[in-house]
Amino acid sequence: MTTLTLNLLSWFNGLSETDRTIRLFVQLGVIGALSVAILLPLFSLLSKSVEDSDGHFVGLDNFLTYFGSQGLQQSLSNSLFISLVVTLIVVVCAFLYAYVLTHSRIPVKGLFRFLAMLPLLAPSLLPAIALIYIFGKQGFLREWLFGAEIYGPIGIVMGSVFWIFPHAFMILYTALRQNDARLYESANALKTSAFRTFMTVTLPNARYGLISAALVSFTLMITDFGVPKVIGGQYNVLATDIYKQVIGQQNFQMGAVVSLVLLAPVLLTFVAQRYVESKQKVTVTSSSKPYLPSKKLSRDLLGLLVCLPILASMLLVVGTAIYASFVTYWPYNLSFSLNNYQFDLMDGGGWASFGNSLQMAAWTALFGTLLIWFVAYFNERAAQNVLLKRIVHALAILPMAVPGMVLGLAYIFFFNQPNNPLNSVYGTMTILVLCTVAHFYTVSHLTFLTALKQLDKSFDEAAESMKVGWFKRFINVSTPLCLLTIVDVFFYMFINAMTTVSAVVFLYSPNTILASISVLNMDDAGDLAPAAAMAVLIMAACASARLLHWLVTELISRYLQPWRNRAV
Amino acid sequence: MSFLSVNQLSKSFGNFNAVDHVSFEIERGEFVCFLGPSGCGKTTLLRMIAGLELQDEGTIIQNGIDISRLPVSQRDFGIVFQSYALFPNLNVSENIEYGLKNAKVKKAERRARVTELVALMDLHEHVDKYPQQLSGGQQQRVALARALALKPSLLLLDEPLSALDAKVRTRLRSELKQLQKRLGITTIMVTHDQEEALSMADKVVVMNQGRIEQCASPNLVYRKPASEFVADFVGSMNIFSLEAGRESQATRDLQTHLDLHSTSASLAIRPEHLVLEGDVEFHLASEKGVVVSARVEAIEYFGRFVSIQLVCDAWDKSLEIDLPSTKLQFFDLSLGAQHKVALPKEALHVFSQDAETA
Repeated sequence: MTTLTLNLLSWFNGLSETDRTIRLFVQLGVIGALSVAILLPLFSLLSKSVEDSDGHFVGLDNFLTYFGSQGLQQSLSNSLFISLVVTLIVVVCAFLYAYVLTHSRIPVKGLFRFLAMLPLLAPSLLPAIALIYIFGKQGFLREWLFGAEIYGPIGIVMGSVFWIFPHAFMILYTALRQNDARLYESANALKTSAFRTFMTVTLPNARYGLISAALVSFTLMITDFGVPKVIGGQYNVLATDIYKQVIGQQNFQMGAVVSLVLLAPVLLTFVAQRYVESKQKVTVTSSSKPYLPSKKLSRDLLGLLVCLPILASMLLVVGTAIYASFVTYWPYNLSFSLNNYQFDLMDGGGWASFGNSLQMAAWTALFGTLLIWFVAYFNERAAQNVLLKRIVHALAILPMAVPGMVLGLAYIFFFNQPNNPLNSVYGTMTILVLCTVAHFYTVSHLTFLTALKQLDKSFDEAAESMKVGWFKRFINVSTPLCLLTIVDVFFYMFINAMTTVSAVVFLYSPNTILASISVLNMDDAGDLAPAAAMAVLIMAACASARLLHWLVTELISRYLQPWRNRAV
Repeated sequence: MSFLSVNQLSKSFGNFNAVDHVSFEIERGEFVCFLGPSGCGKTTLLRMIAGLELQDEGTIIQNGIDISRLPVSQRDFGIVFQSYALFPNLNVSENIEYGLKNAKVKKAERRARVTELVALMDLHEHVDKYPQQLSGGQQQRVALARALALKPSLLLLDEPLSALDAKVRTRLRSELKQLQKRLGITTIMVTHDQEEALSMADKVVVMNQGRIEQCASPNLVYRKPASEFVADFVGSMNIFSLEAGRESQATRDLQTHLDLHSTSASLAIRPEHLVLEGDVEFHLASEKGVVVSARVEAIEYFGRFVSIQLVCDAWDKSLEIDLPSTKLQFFDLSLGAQHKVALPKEALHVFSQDAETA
């Protein structure tokens, strides 16, 4: 204790006055930047919700109007209902799938795991479009719905389950893989039946994972705009309401009100999620042993029986989208053609939109990764003022609680104010990049925090004692050591920027239209096949990025980080 | 017929022979320790007896029944794991009751058994607590109660004391031993701590590289180690090769006394058996053994006794001597001081090199 105090004392004394001032200014600068990107736009949104169309303060009138409107209230209950249904289905399917992958010896587990991640590479619009081909008026499986309509809640549920599945699966897979082998041995030695072992060992160990997966699924569903927009038909939900109020009726005040209504359940699940995560850490101890399932043919066959249908339906969705995009005229002329890829002949944005998307994703990944890495490092290892550190941390966590559409709308209100000096970015690529970085800020920030936690603090203390400045340390020590994490975040940013719809749907201009928006517009215009083609193109770009990610990681760990290769 | 007999048991993981044709017998009510360094195969052997690991070859006969191929659920044993592996989501009484529920024991009977075990293990105040709220020693008692709940005829303990701190460990050692005697349950304990094995076991099975080096009472293992490995692993031992000092008088003396014809042998003697000149026992010891000259190199105080490092000129090798603190004043132990040291014949162990390699 005393040595620690002494160390700290000498550490502080070692800092010159200028160094301390510089650090304080950097802290303030970071807070300023994050405020512009997140806090101030949200504040504009709040103030908009209590104004009338002329900008006069009207108190809670807008909210009263909202809750007086039958249709809008219906959307709220629709949103809640459908999110609960989707959450239930996703969590059950993902749990079964993850359970089989962690607790059996089915063959090609790696392939099962890899394919389960496929939906992450596509915009949420893709499953909706594919479902129209499968179950729509000319769908090849429409009889399976027994006359029910795919446009509406059924379609929304199916499409959403598809793209939310990998998110829940990843959480549950991690939770189930952390099951402690010693407890299974104990249960075995006490002659416990398989069912009781599942109930008393497996389930209790996975409970935080289950809650976490449910919360994430619920949030993703209630904030998603793509699937309900394409396949929702007359079934209105909050996210589509915001779009209709803003784009359709130009009623920005009401858009702000619906945004805030949407924000409420998301904030609630966000708080619950943070609570669950704080609980979760204690369950894994260093003495835990990973569980290795024993050989058992009957169980493995049952496992395949559970996993294969889940996998097959996912592949059916992806396969249908790809197939439909290469067909001349569904369902009458199924010969191969590239006509659907002639985007320049359709309304929607053309090939330029794809180029814009690549450009936007690249800028987001580059600028976002550098910024977030710098802020995370500086705040953890160099910042001095404790209060300001907490503020930065809070600002970095906040975006997770804000749905993309709400953020996008908040950006309009903030950047479109005539008296805002940043007004000029409105309608440019810059605002799209800024908004997307803000939208995916939190996950990247948390990833960096985890990496920094694994990086021994004494590196920094040693360097500090040798009077190496924090920026030099950042460049020479921490960045090379965390290079793999930086690459991970870069590609995470890229793929999400390629597929996002909700955050950017209010912010593009004719010059900066994006591929995902173009999918939406072509679908709106009735050009379903080109929409499918563009969605497939986005997926191909993301898959290539994923491949590149793997390659870069390999190269880095082989050539740039030789210390990782331990001689055995 | 012994209670448990293990015949030619083998298990390998890839190219590594974890357990290599091991055979031994255990009598009913015995407390047996598997002792050896880490990686010697002792835990694997225990896990095969439990059925948690399946042997490649060999048989295990428990109580006259061949259990070699029986699944865990059909074997009769209770086990305590190294880290106890208590169910974190169940409280103490639920943990103890766990196996009883599996065995479909009636509720009233279950309650009675849990109460009995709680009393036996002195866990009254903790029945409603969860494992994380207990100390290491308490967790160990719960794990023991859980293992004993179904009244198994065999108790298996996998390094049950290694997760505890030194003081608690010594106390629990005698508690565990007393409990075992009171219940009369046949017990096998795995440990890498030789002190633990010597103080608790009726029979010690010393293992090295998947083989049994010696299987005997603690007394015999300490007094008559069957191999150089056992001599070195159990207790402290001065071991030296005659080959190194082939030309010296001391070596020739030793050869005559021990009736050795070659120098290809290792000799071993415990530090407490060496006698310094000036000690009352020196005369007797020198008559029945060999005397060498040596000088003091280092001294270490251990409180009750002093450990002295002497360099022996004949073999250019350090000898370690334990001297009770009470005798300290009688000797000149300044560094470099010359002494005569007697090696009594009956305390010398001879390990022929040929036997080692055979």
